[in-house]
Amino acid sequence: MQQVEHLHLQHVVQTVCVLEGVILRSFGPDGGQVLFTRDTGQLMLSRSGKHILTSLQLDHPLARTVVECVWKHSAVTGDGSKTFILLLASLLRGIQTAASKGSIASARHTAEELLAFGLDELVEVIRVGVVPHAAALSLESGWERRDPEAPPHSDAHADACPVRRLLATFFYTRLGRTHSQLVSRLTRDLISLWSRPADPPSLPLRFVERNFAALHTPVCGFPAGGSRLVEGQVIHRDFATWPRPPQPAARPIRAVALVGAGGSLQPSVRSDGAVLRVGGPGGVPGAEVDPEGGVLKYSAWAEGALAGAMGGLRGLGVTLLLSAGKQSEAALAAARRAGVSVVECVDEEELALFAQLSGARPAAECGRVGREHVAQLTFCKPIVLGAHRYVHVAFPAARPHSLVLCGAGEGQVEQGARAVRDALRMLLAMWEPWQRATGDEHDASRRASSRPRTPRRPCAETGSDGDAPSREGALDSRGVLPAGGEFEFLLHRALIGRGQARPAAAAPGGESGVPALCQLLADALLSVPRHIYSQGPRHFLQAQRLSLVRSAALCSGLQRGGSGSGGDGGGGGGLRVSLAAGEQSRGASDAGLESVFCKYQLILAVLQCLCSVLRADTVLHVRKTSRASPQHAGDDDDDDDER
Amino acid sequence: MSRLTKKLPALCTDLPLENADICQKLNVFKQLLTSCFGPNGKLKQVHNNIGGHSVTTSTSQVLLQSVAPSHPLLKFIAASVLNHVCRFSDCGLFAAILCFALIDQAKLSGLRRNVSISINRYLLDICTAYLHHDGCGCKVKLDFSTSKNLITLARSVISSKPACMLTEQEALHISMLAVQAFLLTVPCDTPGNVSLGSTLTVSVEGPPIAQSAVFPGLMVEIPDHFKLCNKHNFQSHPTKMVLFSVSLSGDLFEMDEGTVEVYHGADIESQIVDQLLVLGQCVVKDRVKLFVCQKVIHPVLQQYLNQHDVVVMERLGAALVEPLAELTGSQPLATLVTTIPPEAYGLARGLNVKHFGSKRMLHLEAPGEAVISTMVLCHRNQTMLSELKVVVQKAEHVLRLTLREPSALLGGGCTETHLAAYIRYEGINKAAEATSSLGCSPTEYLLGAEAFARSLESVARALEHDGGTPMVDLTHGHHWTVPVDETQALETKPPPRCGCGVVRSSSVERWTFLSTKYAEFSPAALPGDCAASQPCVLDCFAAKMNALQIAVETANLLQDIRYIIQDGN
Repeated sequence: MQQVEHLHLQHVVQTVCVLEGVILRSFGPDGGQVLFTRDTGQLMLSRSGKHILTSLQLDHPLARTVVECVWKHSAVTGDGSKTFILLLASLLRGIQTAASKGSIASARHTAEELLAFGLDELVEVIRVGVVPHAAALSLESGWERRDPEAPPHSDAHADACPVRRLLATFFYTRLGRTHSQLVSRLTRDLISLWSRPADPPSLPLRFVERNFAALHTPVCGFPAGGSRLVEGQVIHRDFATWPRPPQPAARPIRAVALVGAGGSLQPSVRSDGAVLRVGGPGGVPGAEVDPEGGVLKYSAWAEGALAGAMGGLRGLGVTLLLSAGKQSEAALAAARRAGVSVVECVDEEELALFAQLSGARPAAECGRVGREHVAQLTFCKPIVLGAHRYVHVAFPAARPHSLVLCGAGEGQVEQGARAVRDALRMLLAMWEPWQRATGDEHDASRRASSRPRTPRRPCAETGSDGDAPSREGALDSRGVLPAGGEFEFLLHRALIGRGQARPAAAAPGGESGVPALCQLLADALLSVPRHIYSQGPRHFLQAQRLSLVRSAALCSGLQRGGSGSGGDGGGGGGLRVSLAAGEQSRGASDAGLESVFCKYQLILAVLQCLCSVLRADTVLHVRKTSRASPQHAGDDDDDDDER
Repeated sequence: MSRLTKKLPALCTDLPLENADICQKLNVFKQLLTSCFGPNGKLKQVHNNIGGHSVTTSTSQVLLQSVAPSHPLLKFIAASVLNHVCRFSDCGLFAAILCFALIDQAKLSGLRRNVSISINRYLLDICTAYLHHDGCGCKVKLDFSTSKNLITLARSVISSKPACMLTEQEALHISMLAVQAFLLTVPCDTPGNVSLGSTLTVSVEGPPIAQSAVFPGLMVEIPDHFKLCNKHNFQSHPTKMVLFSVSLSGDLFEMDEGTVEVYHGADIESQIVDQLLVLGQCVVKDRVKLFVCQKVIHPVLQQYLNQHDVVVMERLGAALVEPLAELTGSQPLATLVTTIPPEAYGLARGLNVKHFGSKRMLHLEAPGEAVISTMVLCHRNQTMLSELKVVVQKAEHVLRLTLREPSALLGGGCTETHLAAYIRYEGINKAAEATSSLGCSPTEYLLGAEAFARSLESVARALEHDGGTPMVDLTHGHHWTVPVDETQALETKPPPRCGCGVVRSSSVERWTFLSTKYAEFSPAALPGDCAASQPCVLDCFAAKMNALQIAVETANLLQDIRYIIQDGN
């Protein structure tokens, strides 16, 4: 039987408010962690909204739509999932109060207008009202003076670097206050150590983000303060053979990486379908007939081939062999005799990274190793990290560094690793917004429209999506503002100002014009800082007042500075002024930074989600019929079993 | 094809630490661990419901591995403690008890969670800085020129595990063995980077503990029919030996996948046995006197070798191959076809058979200096023996850790009370600085410092299980225990020594009960004459340091958890 559930605005608001209730536990400076147990029994800690929402395993289709929207958004920017829910909830509440008799139709109308406003005019509002207060962040300025060999700055000293402060704010919301400084310093140093002056700044970011699995090592059982960077690459396997006595460290070490199925040292003729004949013709195909020694002959031949392969390696001076596959016992013994260290079962990704860093091509077959496959290493030694012993290598040409993340338990370490990866993603979204963000946004909207319960999107929107980049391009993706609700305060004022400036703007047929929309959005925005300063209304008002003071100071500063200074210089001045004011109010913000562009994207994503949530009016609970797909015979059995 | 089933919604708990039911669970677990703590700790017997063998223990490692807590919060603590113990072997219970105490005290203090977390973190930094400081009053520099402190350190580990059921004499014997084994793993004449050797442990059930001993080299268990022929003088001359890591049983040797066609009338076994005999001839020709194989040796080959006075040892096991190869300098051979390269042969010395209870063992020594030794542990029954084995391994690990950080902390609860006194004193001194950097009020800070100090003291208090009264002196801040029947006579007859045995009662003027309020004082470091007296309980510095940090970090995280989501699928 089909169950029909008519959706009212009230239901939608309720559902989102429940999600908000969960999220609020870990929102803002006073928020805490959420502990999960997975279905495998594994423990996991998180403060990331995306994770919390997905682990809830929600049942309600509306809630699932919302979670999916959050998921899509944070896959792009790596951040903002908690604020997403907060904004959505307070927008819905605002719409509910405004909508007459709680009718979902008028709410839907408002939502669509909001979205249109967001797509058409928001960027302009932000450009006028918010961007002058923001400073452009540059990766280069953050670490131009960093010397890889220099001892790490003390946490207080390095505070001046803007990237570091941006990261610190991010990690504050992800890991909590105590570790945010350390992890942000490590992340910043990691990126700066990977970047070379000639490269565009997004290159090291993308590289580290892609290879992050190979570039970090989780270590359990130590306090988080033990996290550090180590030079070189850590290969997450132990030596299968390690020559005794250890090689002298002075001479350069030559290494070869073996990948693929042919990477076994043990020669195997028979894998090509050849047959070993015992007691018949000779062991090796094509050999002379030998009725007695078939087996022995074969193994003698195999051993000879093995020795030959080893000899080839020795001839090239190779002392380290990294193999993607497992090596046979005989091969290991031969390697041991030849003084070659072998590391087996190395992850393919790590081998790819190794090849990239060393500049040598990985060899596909042991018998055909040439000069071009041999990599030079400065050292190769065992490194003990926690319970495991790994292989630690370094290269003369590149100076790569790997991140060692420590924590008391698996949950903590995993949380740290996830947070660092999301931080990289966030920085990437700021540096190369167009390669990633637009593509994903289109993707998201396409997928959202293909969802069964959401009606088709109107053409107007898809059209406006198309030319979004040009308009969004007006926003500098690297603008940053002090954290702690500054963006929301500024945009709130800008929106109110916008609404007042255009009172006569005709409402295009609808009941709510631009001023009402601005008011609605502006009020909803304030709920974010209200939750940040959740200790009491006094803090909130104080923060709001300070923000006002800052922008007033900026305006006067701009006037004094004359009209000559362009947008960029004015932005820098604005940041200086606002940071000076920020120093006075070292409250929850700790003078961290957040990205204007990410916030803008967040608001757009929320508005889109709002529309898609409000468009549905009925939930149909459908039971899957047993003969839905006759071409899959297996399905039938399953369904029968379920009954 | 996996079946598609509907996922159950997750089970959520809001604000778990304010939930009475969860608090009750935490409390039970805390009592369970607290009652195991220290040399007078109570033992726990763990049975499972399907009748496996029962475990008697008081060590955190064994206990937490066998008792799997069900609640996620408890699992979380247990995982942190276990991870710590895996790295440092010691101070697991200390970490667990301190963690629970911190959570309890934070709740009692009524501070906001964020404030309490940042204060704990701040005080932890003060503690670690103090402990690393040279003038620290509860740290002892280890002197490697004498084994006294090393033995004390080992004995503290061993005697704090009562499930071994050792008398004082026996504990001392085992501690001395542990130190001896540790010293044997340190190479004497290797310049440059030193790599430590290893100690293998063999446990023998039955003989008295006093028969336990440490031998340089390897002890390999041998079957009853094994005989050493007396023709050779194994004692004086090094013996040439060969080691195989491949099976010599005559089966078709390791081959990768592929088809094998066996023709009618082909006798593979005889082919291989012939080859084995060729191998035997080669070995005999090369004057090998000891033939060892990791796996099984074909009887024909055994017979042949025996006839030629070669000692044959089969089924060595994978675990012993690596140490044996290292000990004798041989290279394990994985093939049986080619001639054996001369560098693959090794040398062994001093072959002889030793008897331990029902077991017979072949003793092999290295030709020169080797850093491999074997410890034979004897005990009366299996349960105690398995606990003893764990404990001795812990002691050895602790001794190794001293190489990285050559100091130790005073045991017997003295470090904890001393640190607590220091925190109280330093708390007053640094109040202004701390409140400005933490952004909290002075009252909050003082409350937090008091909670932290009390948590430390409650660890010292957990050492006492028999109703004695814990005291603290107001000069050095050391921990004293007054037995239950003497509490009344405290004024007239104080206990002779403090918990760690460094401070005598004659050098102290005032005591107070632990966890009563006392006027802050700067806990004095030990005066010269006191330092001359040997501490009788020492804790591993690295382990305790890590445990302290892990405990505070875990407690902080636990307080920070606002929500629990359990996936019930």
